[in-house]
Amino acid sequence: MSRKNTVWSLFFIIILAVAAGFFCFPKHLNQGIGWINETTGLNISKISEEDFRLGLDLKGGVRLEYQADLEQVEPEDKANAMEGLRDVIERRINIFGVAEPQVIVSGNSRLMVELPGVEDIEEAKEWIGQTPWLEFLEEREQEESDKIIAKIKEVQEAGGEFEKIQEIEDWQMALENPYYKKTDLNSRYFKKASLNYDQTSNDPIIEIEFNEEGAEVFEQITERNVGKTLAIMLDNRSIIDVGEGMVYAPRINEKIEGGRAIITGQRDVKEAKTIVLRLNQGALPVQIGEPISESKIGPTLGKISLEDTLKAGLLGFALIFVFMVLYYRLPGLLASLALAFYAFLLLAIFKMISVTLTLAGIGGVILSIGMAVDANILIFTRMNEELKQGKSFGQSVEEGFNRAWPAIRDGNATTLLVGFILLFLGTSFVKGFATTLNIGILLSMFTAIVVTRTFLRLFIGTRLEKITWLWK
Amino acid sequence: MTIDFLKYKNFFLAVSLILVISCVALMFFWPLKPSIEFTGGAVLEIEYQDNRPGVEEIQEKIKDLGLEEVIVQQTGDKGIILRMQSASEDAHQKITEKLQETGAFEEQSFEAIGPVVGKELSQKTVLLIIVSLAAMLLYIAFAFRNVPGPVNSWIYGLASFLMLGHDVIIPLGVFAALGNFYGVQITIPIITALLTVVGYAINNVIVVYDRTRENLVKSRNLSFGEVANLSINQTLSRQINTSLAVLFPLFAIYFMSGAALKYFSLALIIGIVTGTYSSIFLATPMLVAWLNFRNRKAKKR
Repeated sequence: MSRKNTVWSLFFIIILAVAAGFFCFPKHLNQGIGWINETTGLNISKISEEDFRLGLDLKGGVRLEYQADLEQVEPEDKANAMEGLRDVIERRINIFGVAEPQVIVSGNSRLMVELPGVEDIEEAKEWIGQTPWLEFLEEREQEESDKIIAKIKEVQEAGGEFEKIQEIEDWQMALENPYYKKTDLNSRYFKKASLNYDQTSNDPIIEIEFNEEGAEVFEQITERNVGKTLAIMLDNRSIIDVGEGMVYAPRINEKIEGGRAIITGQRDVKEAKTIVLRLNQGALPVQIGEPISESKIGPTLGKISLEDTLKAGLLGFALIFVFMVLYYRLPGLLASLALAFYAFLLLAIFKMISVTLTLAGIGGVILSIGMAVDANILIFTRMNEELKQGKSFGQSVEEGFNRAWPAIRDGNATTLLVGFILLFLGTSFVKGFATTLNIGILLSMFTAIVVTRTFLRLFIGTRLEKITWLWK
Repeated sequence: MTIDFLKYKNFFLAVSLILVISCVALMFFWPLKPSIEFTGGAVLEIEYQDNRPGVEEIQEKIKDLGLEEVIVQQTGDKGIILRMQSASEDAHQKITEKLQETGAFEEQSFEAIGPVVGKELSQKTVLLIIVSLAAMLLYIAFAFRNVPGPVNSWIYGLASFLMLGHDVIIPLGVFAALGNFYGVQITIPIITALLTVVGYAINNVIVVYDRTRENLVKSRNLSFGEVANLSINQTLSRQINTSLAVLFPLFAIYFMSGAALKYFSLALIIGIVTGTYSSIFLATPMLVAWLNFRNRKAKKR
């Protein structure tokens, strides 16, 4: 490789390092951008200051694992039923304002719920444990609506104090939906919903079906409400978000007999799919019961372990630095620089693809640092051997890399192999470890082969090259 | 300077064999203690604000609750860990209520795992270990398929397989002893650490086997034993230096980090030390021993 190329590649590495550094610590970059914007009047947008995503063990919170009872579900509907269950639980948790909750379907019938920052297991279980409830509501009379709206206003004026609110006559009225009132039609009568497409326009059509009793109730409701709308609610909220205070409510065009109906006019296929999914949640309440495993980590414990582990990581890094410089001299210093670069880039990648950092994950990172050092050590050992044989510095650098490569490749490949096996078979702790280890290993190959090599090549043909004690 | 590692190969092989056998014996007499993650059950960790009560006092307090087998341990300065068979939330509530009488404390963590999940995880773990060991064996056999010289690539694979067993069984033996004396349990982090040891040890073996392969091509006039010894010498500094580089952060974690990563790092430390030892004193010497054995058998015939 020519010298010009080496300089270019150094330039590229420096740019990458600076970008990674800013990505890890965006505050400083944004301060800079703010300053530039102020002084020049430009309007450069700032980058997001989102923090690293921390796992439950570092942040504290509650984790619950449920086994869904899918006995009454047809085998082909099981995946859909689980997806529906996941969706309904996520909706419920969101109502309670938990930051960054995670609800994941694991395996065929398991549901994992992670609630960062929540401390009360009992409370969390209550949120999650109810069965989804589907309701169909008909329009209120104008008069009634006005009354409720007035009541809501009155309650709002009373401020947040519950005692004051209680003094208002019929204050419970304010809790009702002002435009729709409940009918007898609900989950109990609903059979299923499915998605279809209009044969000519290809627009999505939702087909709904009630059971025998439901068909009669539905007929009565549609009969008395022709031309009006019928609101559909799940767990007391609009089945799909259609704007603040609004409820999803298709229009009834005619009296419908037989308990089958279609709903047209969805915004897009995605919305139609969501509605079908949620209707079916109400139709076939999948029972989840008590969690099969639960855990809670106090916030202090997580914080202490994070700080300690980070400190340990820094100390380990410093020790490697000292050792490398003492043993390998200048190449050791270069390797340490490459390693620092590696650490920044790794963190930036974690942020970019939002890897959830757990204690296990940090363990994986620290181990991958060791692997990154290994590649450097292999290369330097080979390089020294070549130098000892009396080859020129430039030759030794290139030969050192070429000879070390098979061992680096095979070694990293096997570790990756184990890493991937862990990823596919493991539990969440193992996965956290394997994810960071795998990313770390891939990146460590890059730093050893590209970064360290570029650094070493910079010295080819310089005066420093001749000072043998620097290179040993 | 060249050290003759093969001179005492029978001694080192014997030492390792004895070590492995005694570790297996340890596991037999002091069975490993699987954590609740594998058996099902619950762990409650609390920290007292002031002085913590003695273990007996706590045992006494919760005796009347009629819970099966509750193990009480001290941790840190003011912490207490309770392990119990019952994973129910009801038991959890009862215990925390009862313990309030012994002084004010804060609940640090609580974990409950049903027996089904535990059983599933044990099976998964066994599968995980078998799959990764087999994958290693196949990878080596494949990567060295064109190796010259008298030893077949499958023997390389088999030798590394035996070495990996050695590197995993020794830490397990240590944990059997730790379990017996200090109640240390085999947790998922420890299993993860051991699997990492497998990955790491294979890395070491590959470095020395890779050298052997290269030297076999380069120096056709040397005997296999001489090539093997040369390769061990040439890779010696790498084996030691890399292990040191990995051990630095691990020791830092062991001494500075909380309980969660302590035994994780200990398992890794033991595994990496044995892994380094075996990559120097076992990996290639085993190949030479096998070759000698085969030659002797051929002669007899």
